Amino acid sequence: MTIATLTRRALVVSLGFGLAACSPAKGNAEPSADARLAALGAEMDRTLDGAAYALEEVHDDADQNRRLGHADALLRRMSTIEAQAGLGLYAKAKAFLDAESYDVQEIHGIGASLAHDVERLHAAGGLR
Amino acid sequence: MIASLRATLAGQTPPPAPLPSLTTAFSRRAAIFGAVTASGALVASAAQPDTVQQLASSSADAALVSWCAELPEIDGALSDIFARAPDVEADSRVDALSTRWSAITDGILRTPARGPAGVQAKARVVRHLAAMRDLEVATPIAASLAADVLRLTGGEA
Repeated sequence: MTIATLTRRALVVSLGFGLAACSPAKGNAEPSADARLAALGAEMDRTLDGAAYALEEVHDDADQNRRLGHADALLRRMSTIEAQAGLGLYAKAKAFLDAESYDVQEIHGIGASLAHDVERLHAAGGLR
Repeated sequence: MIASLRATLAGQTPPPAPLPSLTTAFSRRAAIFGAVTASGALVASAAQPDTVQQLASSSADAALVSWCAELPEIDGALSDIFARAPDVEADSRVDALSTRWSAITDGILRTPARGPAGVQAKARVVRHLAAMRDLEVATPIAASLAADVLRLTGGEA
């Protein structure tokens, strides 16, 4: 390894630390629980649209099953994230109702999770 | 609620708690504000729509809250009966309790929550039914809860 390479590497590393130090606070960069729920809900929407297309337009059972499996996984993930306010509750409620018309097995899990969040937020005075 | 549960246990089948009556609310409102209107207080008349809406809203959720609290009590009473040796009297009590249980679940499904109290009441029932593994009833009530949440958070139900 030449001195030039070492210098370049040192420059890249120090620049990396510098950027990290200048970037917004790390806590703010992390999306909130409700933002994650909203993003997963939007992905759920697209996934179910795709499943409907696979079923009704191109009659591709394998593709439809793959998409419904993905919808199951999305609902499972959403069930593990606690809603913090209205946005999170909205995302869970919409995902439940969207999935209800499909054969998505995790429907019971998201229903129980929504009920748990409503009770928790109500007890904390967060529902108005 | 306890009175109706007692009546049910005594072998009678009380009808589900009545749905909120707007007529009653209006009559009560008219009685309360009648004297005020007669004395020419127009301010009270101007406030009427809000007050009536609030009365109707709290009444709607009051029925939901009452039903949702009664359902676990009925399940508890049924469990007590099933834990004992079967007899003829028990059969009639089970029938009465089951009829009341069905009437209440129908009422919960038919009644949209108007505010946090109603939503919380439905959530409590969903969790109770899920704990009892009664997913056949828990799921439609969870759907009703989800529709209420969408509506109350500004989305479409």
